[in-house]
Amino acid sequence: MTATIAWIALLEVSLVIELRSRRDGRHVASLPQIGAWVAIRVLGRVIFWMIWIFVGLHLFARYGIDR
Amino acid sequence: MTGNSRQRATSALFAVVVLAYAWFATGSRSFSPSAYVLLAAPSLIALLLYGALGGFSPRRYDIANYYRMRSSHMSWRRAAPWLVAAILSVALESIALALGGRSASVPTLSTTVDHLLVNHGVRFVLFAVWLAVGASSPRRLVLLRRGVRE
Repeated sequence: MTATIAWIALLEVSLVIELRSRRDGRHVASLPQIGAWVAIRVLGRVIFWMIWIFVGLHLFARYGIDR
Repeated sequence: MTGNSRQRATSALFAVVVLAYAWFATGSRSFSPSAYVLLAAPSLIALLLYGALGGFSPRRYDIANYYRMRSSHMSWRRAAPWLVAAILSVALESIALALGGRSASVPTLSTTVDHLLVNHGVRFVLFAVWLAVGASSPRRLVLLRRGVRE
């Protein structure tokens, strides 16, 4: 239960960081800026696509326990 | 019909088709062959399109410059809040995995999300968001090729 609360807290913190970046872009980077920063190198783009496919596979093709 | 309204109508129709696909795809059973195929189809389309637009080419300096421009004034200091959040996530995930992964008291992120994924509506929304994230990169390269500045 504590860890579930921690996951929800981390999600909320991420939302707060993103909102803060929209208000004060000079001090905090937004998630799209981080993504663009990573994508400057081809390796970063490859890693992005690997993560994207892994998330899709994990969440939508292999979620939960086989019902 | 003017060019603008035709473009808007095409975009709306495309969005409806994508959302219908997302609803259909998230209706298939977990671990079933159809679930893998319905996931692989948009993944391949996005990857092939991104590759065809030069997204994986190290010689496409215009694409590297485009990303450099979008991440202007980036520094480790500005990225620090995200790095801290990522480190905390990795630490929590590692502890949960060390405890077996499906512990009720310390679940992994995927075990936590699994409770939400039981609901078709939640799966549909998350799938639509996942598709939007995947489509955004090729879309940006298409706009770059057309010379459209966002």
